[in-house]
Amino acid sequence: MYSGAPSGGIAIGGGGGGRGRGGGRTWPSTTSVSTSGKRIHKEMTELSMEAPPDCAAGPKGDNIYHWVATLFGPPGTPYKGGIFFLDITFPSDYPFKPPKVVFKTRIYHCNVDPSGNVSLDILTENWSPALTISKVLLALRSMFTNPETYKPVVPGIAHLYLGDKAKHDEIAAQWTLRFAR
Amino acid sequence: MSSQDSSSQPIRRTRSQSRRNTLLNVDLNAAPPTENRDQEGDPIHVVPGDTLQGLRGASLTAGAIDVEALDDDVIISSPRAFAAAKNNSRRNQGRVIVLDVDSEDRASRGNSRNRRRRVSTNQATNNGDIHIDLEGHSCPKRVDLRSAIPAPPKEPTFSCPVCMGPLVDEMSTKCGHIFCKACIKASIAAQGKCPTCRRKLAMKDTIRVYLPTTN
Repeated sequence: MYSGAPSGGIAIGGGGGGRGRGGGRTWPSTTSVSTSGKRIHKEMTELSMEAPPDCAAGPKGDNIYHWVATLFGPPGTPYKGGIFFLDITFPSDYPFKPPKVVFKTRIYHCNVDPSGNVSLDILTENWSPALTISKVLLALRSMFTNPETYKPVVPGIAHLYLGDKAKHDEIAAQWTLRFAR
Repeated sequence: MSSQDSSSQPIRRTRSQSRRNTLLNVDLNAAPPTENRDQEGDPIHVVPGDTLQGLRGASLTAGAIDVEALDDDVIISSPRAFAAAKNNSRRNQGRVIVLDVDSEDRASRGNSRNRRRRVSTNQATNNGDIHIDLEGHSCPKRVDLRSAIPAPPKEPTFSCPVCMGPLVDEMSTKCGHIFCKACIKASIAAQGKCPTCRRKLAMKDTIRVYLPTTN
């Protein structure tokens, strides 16, 4: 059933691969024969060949449906110097359903709720099967520079961003220093 | 055209120059000066004793010859005849032929046409040479070609944006995007939208397409 260790991917972090080896696992089989598995494998190879700037992503363990991604805070933002870890979980009907992306590193951002869930339109209603993890990472990266303040998950942060950007940036930089280094 | 037309400026000038040229340039079988009435042409050109001007005038005179031989009344020469005459006269090669302000455009036109004609003849000979070459050494050439051309260009492979693999039973949407049949079917089932442009789609909006191959 298992395709073994992922070949050629950037395996960041470790462990978690043996989880659910028994009968009652919730995620699908990782055999590459399935469409989702094949597609994830392709994305993995592509990412290892050329990743978007300041991004890295790869399977956590030997389960290719569970990835970890790393985002570096882009310079010119209060997040600069920070390293943000994200969990990416692929549904069994990927790419027809969007992957779940969760921030594991705390971040002061109006589009990331306290438990790390990202509100990004392309990860919900605007998902398209033609989108890839690489494009999602790019969208997350641009979210650092341009927060979406129209429909924020944390309205307080959005208000502060719109009303007093200097204060917002100060807090965000503090959080970055505290949690993302 | 009556004989009155012959009193127009260019012809008069031409004659005056040709008269002078008969002394300098014998091979330009110019018509002998018939009348002596015109010395009041363009002052710039009819500078008495200017031999250089006379030399430069040779081309124009040469051009005028044909015409004058035909009829006294015809105005100057055609650009073609002018160019031909210029070709014949060795003297004028590489010389700027702007001697006549009035017929400047004509002269330049003749020159350009002449140049063009020359080029075209060169091409013709070149083509001929190549043709002969091909016919003469067809066998060695073919061998050369076979060894020179490496491998045939790789067949372009298009991948499906959904499965990122090679297209299987490619289908086009009405918005023109191409996917595997299974991929677009699943996409429409999941979202009812085109994966590439998010246009609203149903399965009836897709059509089977057959991508061409290179051979």
